[in-house]
Amino acid sequence: MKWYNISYFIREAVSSIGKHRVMSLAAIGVIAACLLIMGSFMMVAVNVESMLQEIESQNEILAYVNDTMDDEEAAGLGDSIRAASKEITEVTYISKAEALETFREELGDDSDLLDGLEGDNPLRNRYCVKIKDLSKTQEVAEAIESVDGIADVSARSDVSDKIVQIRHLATLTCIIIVLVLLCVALFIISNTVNLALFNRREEIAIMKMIGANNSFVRSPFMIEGLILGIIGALLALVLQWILYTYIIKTTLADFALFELISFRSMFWYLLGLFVGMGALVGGIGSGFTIRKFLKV
Amino acid sequence: MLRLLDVSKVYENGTQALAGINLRIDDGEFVFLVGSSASGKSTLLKILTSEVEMTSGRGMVNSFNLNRIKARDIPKLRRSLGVVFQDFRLIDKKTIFENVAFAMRAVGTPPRKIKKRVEYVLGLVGLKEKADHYPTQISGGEKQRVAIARALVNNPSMIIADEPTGNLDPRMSLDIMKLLVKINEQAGTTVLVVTHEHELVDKFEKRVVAIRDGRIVSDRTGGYYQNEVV
Ligand SMILES: Nc1ncnc2c1ncn2[C@@H]1O[C@H](COP(=O)(O)OP(=O)(O)OP(=O)(O)O)[C@@H](O)[C@H]1O
Ligand SMILES: [Mg+2]
Repeated sequence: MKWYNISYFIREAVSSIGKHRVMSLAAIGVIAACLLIMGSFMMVAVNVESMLQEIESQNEILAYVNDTMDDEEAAGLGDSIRAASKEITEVTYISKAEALETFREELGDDSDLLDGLEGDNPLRNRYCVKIKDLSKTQEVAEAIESVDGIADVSARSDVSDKIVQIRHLATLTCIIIVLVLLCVALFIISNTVNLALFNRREEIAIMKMIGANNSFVRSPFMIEGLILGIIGALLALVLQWILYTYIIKTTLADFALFELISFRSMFWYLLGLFVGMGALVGGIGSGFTIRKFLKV
Repeated sequence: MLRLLDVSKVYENGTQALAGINLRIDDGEFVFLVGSSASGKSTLLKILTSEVEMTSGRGMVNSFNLNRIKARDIPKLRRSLGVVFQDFRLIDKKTIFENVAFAMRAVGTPPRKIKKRVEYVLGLVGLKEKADHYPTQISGGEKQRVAIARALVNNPSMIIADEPTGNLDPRMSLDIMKLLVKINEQAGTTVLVVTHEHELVDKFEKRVVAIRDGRIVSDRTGGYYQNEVV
């Protein structure tokens, strides 16, 4: 392929967009709408995931040390706890004095309730244990309990089960919705392209009659689809930004229990995804749909 | 040159459009193909451009074997033919210049050569001044001149015209026919013209092939249309 051919194809594609303004706008609109819906859903999914991670990081196993051990002995149990299970990622020792201090901080203004307990601390020395896979919470808790010197273990295995369930559900819903949206997008876009090509079938037939080969006829159309796809993607990105930042953030931030992910941190990811999808759907979509018009 | 041997065409719906056509046209000839409506003239031309496949028989056009041509060689066959239609088939959204030029682009000609050649053929058909106009801004006769320029631009060895004057008034028709004769005489391009118009054919002393119900019923060089049994 020669450079003057490529430059001709690009000029041809750009001028064609200008000549078929209504159809071009329709194609841009369709692509932008599909990407916006997909993107909105993705933003929700990303936030749910970050929420789950937040809950997960708060969900830890607490292993209480037998009161018969003194502070020094208790502090030395770390290695045996770590050895109890391969799932364990983090073991932190918290002395009863530290635990009391934390408790005091949590109580804030009411911390005077704990005054005078320093000498006779009712809390126990403890280990805070984090694990890789939440669905193994129960199993790990039991393993830790059997470590010498551990009196008992508290683990909210009900919470961790819920998180695992929610994540599975969220992943499944995410996959289904993305697949459905992708099908809808492809359907609408191939119809739009079909309509556009139908209006220009005469032009295509003339090209074929004159002896143009298929790739010569197809190339400008594919570049046109590519350009429209990318414009649609950029439009969707701007709309997504406005929608997310101004509507969702300003109205939901006050009620949300968790901090929402900022649009900025998602920007490059979304840009890549949108432009990639837009270009793919626009370029491949028109290249694919044109095939039946080439049979002249 | 072209050669058809016992060519028949039966369309999918059972219509027999051609029945045993034998035809030979040599390089440099000028041939009128005449016959009443539905006699099979357009079908014959479509077989030559490989738009329609013959049901039986054998045929060759220029150096292409119509029975064995591969899909990817069809563009090459068509480039060796310049095709002109009754309804001009110009692209309304392109200028006259572009309509002609893009036949050259399709063949991969460098832009520099395109400009020179397009200007030359537009001059040949007398439309140099209208190069920047759009097809909607010129007359029917002028449109057909553009179509002829487009057919000529890649230097085909044969021009095939299906009722090129069917949409034109008699004066314009005569001009277009004279233009085709001029191309045939000056460039040596073989010309095959389908037409209905008796008076027009009778004004030129050329070979006339008459077709009726899918059969060739007469083929005479220098013959006149009005003498034929069509
Ligand atoms: N695609 C097709 N499918 C079925 N039948 C067809 C098709 N094209 C043409 N025919 C039939 O084949 C016969 C010959 O048609 P053709 O177009 O070759 O005639 P023609 O001589 O060009 O007529 P006209 O002078 O009106 O253009 C007609 O009976 C026509 O109805
Ligand atoms: Mg016809």
